[in-house]
Amino acid sequence: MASAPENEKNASAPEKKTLTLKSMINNEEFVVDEHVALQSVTIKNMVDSDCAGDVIPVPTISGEILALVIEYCKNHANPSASEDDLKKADAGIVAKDIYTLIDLVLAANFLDIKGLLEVTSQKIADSIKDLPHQDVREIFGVENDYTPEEEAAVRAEHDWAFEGFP
Amino acid sequence: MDSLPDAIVQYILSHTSNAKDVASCTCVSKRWKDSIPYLRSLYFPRNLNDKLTGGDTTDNIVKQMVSSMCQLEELVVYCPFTSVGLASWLSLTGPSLRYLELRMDNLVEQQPCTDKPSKLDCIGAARNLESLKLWGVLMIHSPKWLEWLEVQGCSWIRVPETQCLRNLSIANNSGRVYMVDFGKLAALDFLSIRGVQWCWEAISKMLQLANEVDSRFVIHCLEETVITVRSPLNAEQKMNTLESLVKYGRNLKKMTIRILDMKSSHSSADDFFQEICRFRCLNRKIVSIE
Repeated sequence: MASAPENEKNASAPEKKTLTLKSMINNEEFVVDEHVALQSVTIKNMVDSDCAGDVIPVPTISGEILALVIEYCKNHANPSASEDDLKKADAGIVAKDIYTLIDLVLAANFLDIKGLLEVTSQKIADSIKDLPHQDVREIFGVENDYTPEEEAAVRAEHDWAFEGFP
Repeated sequence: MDSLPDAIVQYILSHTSNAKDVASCTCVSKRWKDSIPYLRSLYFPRNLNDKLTGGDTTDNIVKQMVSSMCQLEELVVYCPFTSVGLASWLSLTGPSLRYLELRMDNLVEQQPCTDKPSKLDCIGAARNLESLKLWGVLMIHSPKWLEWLEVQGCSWIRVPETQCLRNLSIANNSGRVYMVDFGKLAALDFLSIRGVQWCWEAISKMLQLANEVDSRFVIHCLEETVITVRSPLNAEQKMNTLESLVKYGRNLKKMTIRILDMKSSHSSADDFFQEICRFRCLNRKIVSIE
């Protein structure tokens, strides 16, 4: 008698639809609930236009990065998560080295997940804070394409900002 | 980072706003410098002028940086500046600016007289401004389209053009609020007043204005209040204010009226004291006299 309502509930619950995302870099596959994956506008467009097969290939994104993206989507698809919880979870996801963050920004851009693009970009921008430009170049792997004269001229424009810097 | 497309580099760098970091970014590479005009937000810290040498002024530093932006939406200036400087920045960013925050520490130099042009008269140039936040300010002509206004640390506040104002907060944590004067707050739907001391006149004006907006006005959060009475001057206004506080403060549990140094030699003082006693009798449950 007691178990009857439970059976009924199970019977009427619709089967959860899932999608499989496959990293084309290392062929790693991830089975994800559809509503989680649909936070990516790119995947949503594919599903909406019936272009998505059983397995959705994701080019240029490694399994490691894809796992982070899916973690983000799962957190944000959870309707009971408070804003505070999400903030903490986001901070955990972007607490990575700069190379991972750069891959993550590219993935967020490709998959069109606005929130992830935003938090990752902010994290990268924050790590520029208070650094001399020479250090920025080194840490971010940016090639200096200024001639020494050009660089001196640009620097002179903002002379006030370089107090205490080499 | 060199492998990223231009648009993403621009997007990432648009998340920096501290002027010092922005200056540093322009020196990193040509592509980084070319991304700077797409910044949406700029922040000039308070200590910017500490180490200025030569002919540099903070006015010029801000101006130079603002002039290289093409769609600046947010400008926060905590370092000292002049009204001429502000006017020049606003004429450069004009229509794109939506949020402006200024710390106006040189208030002391600016005597509060109405015939002198105020530092902020030029704000009209930022015609799409949605939010204006001012610290320690004397403002004489406010933009009349303003919807959101937060005033902190001011003792005298007058805003005549208020027909669009929806959100109003007044806070003064260090001094007294002497006077407030607003036009009709026809569009108001949020009001917050905080502070250590508010004068009779200011509080009674706020209550009157709020009641004009909506006759169902209630102060839900007020539970306890201490009121100091020093003189019987304007007794009628004071009594009105006390009555209003009890009327609007639906959840008021405790009101303490402190009577200090009131000379009892005047008959007006006796009358006023009697009024207060009558008021206490009417509201016996919550009002007490010290």
